[in-house]
Amino acid sequence: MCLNLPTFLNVMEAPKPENAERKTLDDRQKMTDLERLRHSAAHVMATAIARLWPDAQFASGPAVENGFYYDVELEHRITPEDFPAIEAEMKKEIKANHVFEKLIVTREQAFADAQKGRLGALAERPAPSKFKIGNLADIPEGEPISYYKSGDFIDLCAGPHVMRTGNIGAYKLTTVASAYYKGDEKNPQLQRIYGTAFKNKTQLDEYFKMQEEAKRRDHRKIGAEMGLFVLDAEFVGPGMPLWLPKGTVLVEELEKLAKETEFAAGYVRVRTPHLAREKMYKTSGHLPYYAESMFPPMELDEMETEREELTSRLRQAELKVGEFVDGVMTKDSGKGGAIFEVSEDGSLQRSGPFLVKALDGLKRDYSIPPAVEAAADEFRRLKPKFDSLPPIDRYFLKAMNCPHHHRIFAAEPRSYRDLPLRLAEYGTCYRYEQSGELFGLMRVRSLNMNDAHIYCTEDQFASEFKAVNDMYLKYFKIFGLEKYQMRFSTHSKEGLGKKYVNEPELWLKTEDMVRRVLNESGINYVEVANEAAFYGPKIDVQVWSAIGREFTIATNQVDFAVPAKFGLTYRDRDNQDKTPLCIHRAPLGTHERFIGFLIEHYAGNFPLWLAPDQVRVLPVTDAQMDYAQGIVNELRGQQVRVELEFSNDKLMGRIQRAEERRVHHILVVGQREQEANNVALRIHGQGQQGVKPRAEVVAEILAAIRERKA
Amino acid sequence: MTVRRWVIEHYAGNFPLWLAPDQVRVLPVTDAQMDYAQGIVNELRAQQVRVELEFSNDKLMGRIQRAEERRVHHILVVGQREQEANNVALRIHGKGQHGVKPRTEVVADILAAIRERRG
Ligand SMILES: [Zn+2]
Ligand SMILES: [Zn+2]
Repeated sequence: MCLNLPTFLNVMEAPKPENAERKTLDDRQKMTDLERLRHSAAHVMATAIARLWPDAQFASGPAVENGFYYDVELEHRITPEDFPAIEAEMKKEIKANHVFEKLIVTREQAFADAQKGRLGALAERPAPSKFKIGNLADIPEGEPISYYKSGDFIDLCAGPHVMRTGNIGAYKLTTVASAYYKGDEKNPQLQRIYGTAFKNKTQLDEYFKMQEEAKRRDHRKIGAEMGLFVLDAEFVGPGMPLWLPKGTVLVEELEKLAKETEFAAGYVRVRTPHLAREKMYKTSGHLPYYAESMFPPMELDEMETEREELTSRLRQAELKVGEFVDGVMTKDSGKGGAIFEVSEDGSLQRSGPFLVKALDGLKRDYSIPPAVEAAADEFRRLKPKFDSLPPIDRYFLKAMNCPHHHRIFAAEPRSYRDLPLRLAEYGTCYRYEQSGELFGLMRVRSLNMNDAHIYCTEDQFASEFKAVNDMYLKYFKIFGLEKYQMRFSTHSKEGLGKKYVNEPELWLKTEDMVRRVLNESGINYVEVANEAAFYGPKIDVQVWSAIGREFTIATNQVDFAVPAKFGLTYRDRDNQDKTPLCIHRAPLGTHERFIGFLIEHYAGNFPLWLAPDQVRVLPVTDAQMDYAQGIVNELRGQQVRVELEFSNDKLMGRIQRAEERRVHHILVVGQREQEANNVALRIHGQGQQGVKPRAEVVAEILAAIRERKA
Repeated sequence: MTVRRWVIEHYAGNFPLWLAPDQVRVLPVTDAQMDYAQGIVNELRAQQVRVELEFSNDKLMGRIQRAEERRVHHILVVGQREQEANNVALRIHGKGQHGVKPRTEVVADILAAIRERRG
C-alpha cells in the first residue's frame, strides 16, 4: 500500500490470508511450475462445477500457498459432500487432455462475450458473466486481454498454465469457505472452493500426511496439553499470550542461548521502555505510514488541571465580552443576534481574541461596563498563559525496537573506535493486528523479539553480515533444522527515488557485499529482484519444520536511511562525522512465533536442555526416599529442573504420568539401585535405557544440557 | 526508590565484580604481548566474563587511568616479564596494585568471585 514503509517493521510477520488481489503480468511470469499446475487445476475445477451447475458465476481462481481456489456464486451451497461429484467431472476433463489454448481478444470483444455469459462458462448463457465484467474493468488500458480455452470452458485469464489438462497429475478438493468479491465486504459474498494439486499421487499423499501430522502437532493443542501458554482474550486482550511457568522455561532457555551466543559474538545488551513519544515515530517515519499497525496513542496531559482551569476562565471571559459586543452591534437592527468574523476560507469564526478586539473598537463610541472591561482584561492576561502550556503528549507502544536503539546510539558521542556497536535486546513490541488475523502464537499483538541493531562502517559491513549469518547457521544446527532458505530481496533501478531510497551506488555496493557473503558462506539462498525494503536490501529467513512445513522466522535488513533521519554519526579517523550503516537482525525471531514453530518441530518433545520438565526421580518405595532426594538435590544444585515424585500410586502409574507430561529423563530407584548407587534410566519417547551408575547419569545429564544436545 | 537507583547509590557506582558492567580489562604493555593478552581475554570471555583488551599508542599510565575512570573492576597489565613467567600484574579498581600473580590463579579468583557473587 504504502511504498515507503520500512519492511523491517514486518520482521516475523506471518503471510497475510490469501486474497484475490490482482497479480501484475510481471508477478504472473514468476509463478512456479507447481503454481501453474495448481492454477490450471482451478480452471478444471471450474469446468467441472459449470458442468454440474451451468448457471455458476465465477470470479477469480488463483494458486495459493498450499493449492488453489475458485470463487463462485451459486444458489446451491457446495459442501464437502459435493466434492466426489466435482472431482469425478474433473477426472473426465483431465482424461480428455485438452490443450490450454490462449486467445488474444480486444476489450470490446471481451465485454461482448462477458455480456453473453460466455466467460467462465462452457457455452453462452442468458445471464452475463458479471464478475468477469468486473475483472475486465480492472485490466489497465493497453494491457493485452486474453482467454484460455480448455475443451468447452473459456475463461478470462492472463495465464500461465500447464500445456494440457492431462499434466495435472493428482488433485483433491479440500474445503469450502466464503469470501467477498475482490475481498470487499460491500461486494457480493461468494463460495470459495479450495483444492490442492500436485505432479503425482505420491506427492499428494505426502502432503495430506504432513497436514495430518501438523494437526497432531498443532502448537495450540500441545501448548494447552503441556501448560505452556494461554490466550486470555477477556481480561488481557486477544493476541497477547500469557506465558505459564512451563512456557516461561522455554522463553528463558531461548534467552539464555541468545545471551550466551551474542556475548561470544561481541554484542552488548540494552533495555528500553515499551513506550515512546510521538516525536520518535515521526522521526523514524513509522508515523503516519505505519500508524494502522500500531496501538492507538495514550494521551498524557501533565498540565491537565491548569489547562482545565484556564479553559474555563477564558470561556467565561469570552462569554461576558461576547454578550456585550453582540448587544451593542445588533442593537440597531432591533432583532438581536451575534457577531462573527469571516475567515479566509469564508467560514464564520467567533474566537475570544476577535471579540476582545471588537470590544476595543467600540470603546470610542460606547461606555464599557466595568464588569465587561474586567473580563476583557482577564482574557488578555490568561490567553498567553494558555498558549504557552506544553501541548498534550502522545505516547505510543513500540512496534519495533530500532528507534529506541538509535537513541541509545545517539546518547553518547561515538568514534570509529566504538564501531561496530552491536546493541541487543529481547524487546517487547506491540502491533495492532486485525482480530480476524490473530492465530495462536503465530500471529499476535504482543511479541518479544530477539532483536539487535549493528551499527557499522561500510568497511565493516561484510564481516558483520557474515557473522550474523554464522549465528543463524549455529542456531539451525542446535535446533536440527536441516532445510532453510534465505530470500535475498534487492532493489530495482526503476524504483530508485520512489520505492527505494535514492542511493544508487550504496544499493549496488551493499547488495554486492551481501551476495558475496552469501556465496562465500555457502548459504542456501534465492535472490528476488525488486522486493527490497525502502531503506535497503532485506533477507527473509525461511525454515522447514521436522514435518516439512515452511515458516518464515526472521528478517534481516540493511538500513541506509534511518540512522541519518535520527542524525546518528560517529567521528571517523579523518575527524569527519559520518553516518553508520545499521543491520537489523533477529535470528530467533520472536518468542511467540519461534516457540510456536518449535512446538510443531519437536511435537512438544523438546531436547533435554529446553524441556520444561527435565528430570523426575521416582523412588519405588519410601525406603528409597533419601537416596532419591539426594539425587534431586545434586541436580537441583546444578540448576536442573528436577522433581521427586513419591505417592501411593503404583510405579507404573507414576511412570505413565511422567511420560504424559513429557518429562525428559525418568530415574527410577529401587532397593537394588540404591545399594549399588545406580539408577534405572528411562528417556521420554525412547523407553528404558537400562541401569547405570548414578554419577554417570548425572554427568551425562549435565553435559547434555550444557552442550544443548539435540 | 526504584531498585535500579538503589543499587547504583548503594555502591556509588563501584559495583562488586559480579555486577560491574566492565569486569576485566587486559592491558599489554607493548604489542609484543598482544597474543598473550588476547589469550587471557579469550579464556575469560569463554566463561562469560565481560572482558576487553585495550591496546593503543597511549602510554600505559594513561590507559590505566582511563580504565580506573570507567570503573573497570580488574585491570590486568602484562609486560614482557609477566608474559615470560605466565603471570599478570593485577590492579583492582579503587584499591590499587595487588602485585604480580600467576595467570591461572588470577583467572580462577575472578571466576570464583563472580560465581559466588562476592561483595
Ligand atoms: Zn488461468
Ligand atoms: Zn530494527
